[in-house]
Amino acid sequence: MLSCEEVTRLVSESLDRPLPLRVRLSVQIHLFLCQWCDRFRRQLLFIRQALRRGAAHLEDHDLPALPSLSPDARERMKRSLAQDE
Amino acid sequence: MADHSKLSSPEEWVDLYGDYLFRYAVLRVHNGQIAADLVQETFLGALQSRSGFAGRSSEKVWLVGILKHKILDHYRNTSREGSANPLEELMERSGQLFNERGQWNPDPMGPKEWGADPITILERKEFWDALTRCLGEVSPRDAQVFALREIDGLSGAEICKILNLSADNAYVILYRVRMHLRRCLEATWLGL
Repeated sequence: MLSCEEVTRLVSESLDRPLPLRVRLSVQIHLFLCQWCDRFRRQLLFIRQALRRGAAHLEDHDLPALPSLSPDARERMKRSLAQDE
Repeated sequence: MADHSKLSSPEEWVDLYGDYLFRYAVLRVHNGQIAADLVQETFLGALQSRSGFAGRSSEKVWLVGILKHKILDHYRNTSREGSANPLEELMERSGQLFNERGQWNPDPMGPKEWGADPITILERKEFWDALTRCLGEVSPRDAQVFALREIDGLSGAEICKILNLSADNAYVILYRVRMHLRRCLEATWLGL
């Protein structure tokens, strides 16, 4: 039986490349039996999903949750653009 | 020939695309100051190469293309800073994750129930603040590998090529960043 530490490595790797079938099955059995590692896996997927959703919604101006340029930075950019033109 | 008529005036760029480009950059470099600098360099670079704008793509796509190059240049310039890795220290400081048999030490290191919904996460400012802060604790190179994989969806091999890493390194780095990020978000965003 795989240890939790090994399973966390394999779960992470499975997000980046396919695992061999036998390994994948061992991981699945472990996840079925271990609530910690199952949560771990769901949390990694959550982080990925949140980041990709965030990246896909950059244009939503009414989303205050994502950072915007500060007024200072805007001014600085406008000045340097006017200078260089 | 270049078609300038399809371009807005450079002064308008800041208001039209500034926030979009800034958010694009900040998600990938995890630092507001650096992101603002990259956006400014993008505008200045665009100004100089306006004649190269072929009008085949939208103005925004053209600007994002320039920004992508600026981000990759930034990555290459800072990726050597990844060699001494603070993550292992961080993990040791926050206690042993696993016991000698490789099982989670449930308290305090075992994953807690987050109870958060990824669908509504976009509206939570605290989440993005915590994410930026937690990724800021990782070495620049490790954070770059993470961004290229998780946001841009590049493969491990592609990332190794871009950042000049030896094959397989990407997987180890991704594991370290995820371990840190998961725990850090749990502690700083959810307070668990």
